[in-house]
Amino acid sequence: MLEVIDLVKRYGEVTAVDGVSFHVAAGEIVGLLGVNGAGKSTTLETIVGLVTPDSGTVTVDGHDVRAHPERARAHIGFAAQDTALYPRLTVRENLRFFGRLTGASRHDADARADELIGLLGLTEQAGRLAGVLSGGEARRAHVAVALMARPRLLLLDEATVGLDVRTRTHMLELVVRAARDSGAAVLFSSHYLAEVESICDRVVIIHRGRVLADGTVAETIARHAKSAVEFAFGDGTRQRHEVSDPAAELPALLARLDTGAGAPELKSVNVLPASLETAFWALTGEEPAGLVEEVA
Amino acid sequence: MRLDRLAVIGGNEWRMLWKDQAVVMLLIVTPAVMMGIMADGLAPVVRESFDAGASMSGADFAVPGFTVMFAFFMTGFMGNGFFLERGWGTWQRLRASSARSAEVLLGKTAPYAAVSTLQILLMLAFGWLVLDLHLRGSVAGLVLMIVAVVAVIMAIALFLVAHCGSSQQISALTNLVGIVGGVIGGAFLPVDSLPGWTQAVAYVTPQYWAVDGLSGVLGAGDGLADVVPNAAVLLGAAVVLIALSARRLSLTEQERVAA
Repeated sequence: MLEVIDLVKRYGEVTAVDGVSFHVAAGEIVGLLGVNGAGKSTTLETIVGLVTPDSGTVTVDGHDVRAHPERARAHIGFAAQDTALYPRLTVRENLRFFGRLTGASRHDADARADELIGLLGLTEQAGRLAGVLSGGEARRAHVAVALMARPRLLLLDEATVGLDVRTRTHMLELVVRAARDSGAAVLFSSHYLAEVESICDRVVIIHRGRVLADGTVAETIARHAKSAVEFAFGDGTRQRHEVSDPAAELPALLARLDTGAGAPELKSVNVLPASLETAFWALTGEEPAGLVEEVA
Repeated sequence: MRLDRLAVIGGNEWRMLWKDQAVVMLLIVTPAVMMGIMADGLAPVVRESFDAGASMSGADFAVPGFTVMFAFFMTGFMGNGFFLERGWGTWQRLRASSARSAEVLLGKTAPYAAVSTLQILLMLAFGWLVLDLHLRGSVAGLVLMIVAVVAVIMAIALFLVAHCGSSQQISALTNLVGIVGGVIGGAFLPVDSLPGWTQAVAYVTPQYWAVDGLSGVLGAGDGLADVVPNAAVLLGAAVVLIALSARRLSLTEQERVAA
């Protein structure tokens, strides 16, 4: 459904996307992972045709996005990182407008809007102006707009940011249903590795504009993940050490800790099994949230 | 170009505009008040400044003059409307839809053009019903002039949207275009009664061609052929500005999205 081949995008001296290639098949959910500034949003915006690449090609259902943007976009539902709604229109009016923009009749757009309002738990908010919605409500309405046209390719950029646990779970179920029941190809960009691990068939890890890994979650963990021991200190800092055998190596790591005067107090020790998170860390040297102090 | 999408985008923009009806009303009421105050006082100036001045009333100049002056403030209203949409993120969403750029631009512009036309027609109706405005010239000439004035206003608005980096810049430039351009272009006082240097500069302002054409066809009894040059200048300027804006808009959009 989606083919991205050797995509390059430069802004002056900065290469935001540097030879990125991957694909997403119909019915597949692919997680696009990377720290802030890794090139995820630029990649998504290039796929949807908002950014013109310096080189490389993007095809959606066989349509080249640059050569036939209208045909390609007809299949895409895109929810950008920032919510995009008309604040002076109600939730239902927003959905109806974007639905009709895709060519749906007034009746069909209304029916689809009502369906999504129910699915996303927006019944109470449907008649409210989008400008007065809470962050989580606006995020749900924002994603609902992307789903209006029953897209064959769904691009979600940080779709679950700001949602409470219950709503987030509900949103993830909807994404899975879009792929499994409707056969949509889903490209799901997120910082939350646990949710990526739970719903994605494959992951593409991107760092400084380049693809570092592309495979199933299990393959990525098997190839790149190591266990880790993480120390948390009283001053709020953390140190993470990659290890092969946590139990065997922990005493030596503890012995190496600075316990002199002025050294921060050790608050806790966490042993992290090999996971998508440790694979990500091993590949990029950074945690998605970018809070971990790297230790050689 | 798909008409159904154009209608959907235009309908949505109209809905948004309707929520700002107080601002629209202000753009209509303010010039009406101004022309009511100024019409009688301008009568002596009109008699001296126009060839057909002896038969013209003060309203025959004040109505087209203030109509043109305030019509140009629509540039800021429309420009800020575009910038608001950028801030809401819906501009990006529109561009990510299957709608073509031309459909988005035309669909968003059409309701403003309709409001601008309505504004001009209401001003002229007010002048005719309440003040001493005449329609001595060609009705076709009047229609042509209204179309040309609205076209150049829409083109200036798109030009501002394409070249300004913020709504504050648009507001500042709207004041420059609307007030300074209006005064120099003879919308406030006839050009003949202005200082010599302004008379030389007046020809580069669209307001000059607009006021000259409208006051000619209304009070002075000009025919269609008489106002064709005025309309041609305005429509020509509109074409150039739209061409410059379309290119610039598509280029800057990518950079803005990337930023």
